[in-house]
Amino acid sequence: MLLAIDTSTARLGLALHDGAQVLGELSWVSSARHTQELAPALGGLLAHCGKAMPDLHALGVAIGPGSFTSLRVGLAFVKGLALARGLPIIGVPTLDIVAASVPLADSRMETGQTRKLAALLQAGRGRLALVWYSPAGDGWQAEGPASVTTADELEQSIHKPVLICGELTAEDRQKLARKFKNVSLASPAQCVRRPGILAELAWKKWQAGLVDAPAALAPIYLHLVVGSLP
Amino acid sequence: MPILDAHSFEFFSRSPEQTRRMGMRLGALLQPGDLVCLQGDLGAGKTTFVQGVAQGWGSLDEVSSPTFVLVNAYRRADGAQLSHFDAYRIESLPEAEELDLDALLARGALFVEWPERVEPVLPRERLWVFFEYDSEEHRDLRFKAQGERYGSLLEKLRDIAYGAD
Repeated sequence: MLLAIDTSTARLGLALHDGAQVLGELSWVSSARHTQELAPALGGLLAHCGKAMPDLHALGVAIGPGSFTSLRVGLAFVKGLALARGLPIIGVPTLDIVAASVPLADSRMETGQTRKLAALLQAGRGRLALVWYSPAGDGWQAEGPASVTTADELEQSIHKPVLICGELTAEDRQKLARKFKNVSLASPAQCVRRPGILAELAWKKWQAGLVDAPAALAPIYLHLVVGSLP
Repeated sequence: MPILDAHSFEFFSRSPEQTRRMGMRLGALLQPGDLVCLQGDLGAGKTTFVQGVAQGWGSLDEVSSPTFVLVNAYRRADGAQLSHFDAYRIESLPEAEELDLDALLARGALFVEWPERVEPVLPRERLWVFFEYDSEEHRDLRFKAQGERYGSLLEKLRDIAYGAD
């Protein structure tokens, strides 16, 4: 059984996957501190599913981008479990989870053309982390590393039909909807990063032998400011 | 206590006790998310001021210098947090950013020493206090508010300071 943990943003997610199905899934926006909520939530999820720590055989974790503190909490938690129980860790870029929640069929338009997908999450102070995905085989393929943008900048860069999915404020939604002919915006419920999807992605990577070295696995930090000290 | 303009004022402290009392007045007015930057050389009164702030805010913990730990967190009986960050040892802006000041601000008020070193990563709206050494006991404190919240905070601080003097 694989445990998946996503602490990329204020939204926390946990899921248990046995290879055939998602046994249990927890997702909530935390108002308190992730460190205080994570371990009790895992205990509760295991109890609900009638499972215990020895049932865990692999750990999937979202590695960002996201907020600095919350990413560290998730990675530290997962690394602690991995070291204590000798479990493999599978890191998954956070925006891959967002992309995977959009059906690949949505990329095909009636005209026969395909459209790309912009996966987003809040990067702090009104900025957004962005990765563009294009359809490749049976999944979405990232076109490059995450970059920092704003809803205004993104809206202005769109000149042909695209899909947009991810954590968006009401204001972001309004701005992006200005390109209504070219923008297909996922509904707020579809934009929730589901830990079950993280579990599925991590399971596939685990089966393919794509396991990360616990000591080397680091979060993807997106810096908004570059440069040396004044 | 000269008023320079609507968004700033100057306070001449004649003793560490006066500096501390000024800090206490500010501490009592703090709200979660407030950012206060303290700029001034060693010995200019920053630590004394923060000690007053923590007391006025109601801290259960004693103030100590965060130069080596980077960030101190002080607690209050109701669970609120006050963060105290010292940027003296920060070596790059990305390093400052990774400390996640936004997360600290989401939990409570934040005081930053040596803020000029990390200015680009700080939110634009803030209260900035300049500390200057005048003589053995005398210090010059200049308060400058940026943004609506800090304008009204400064106004209240000024009213209280005047009322008390």
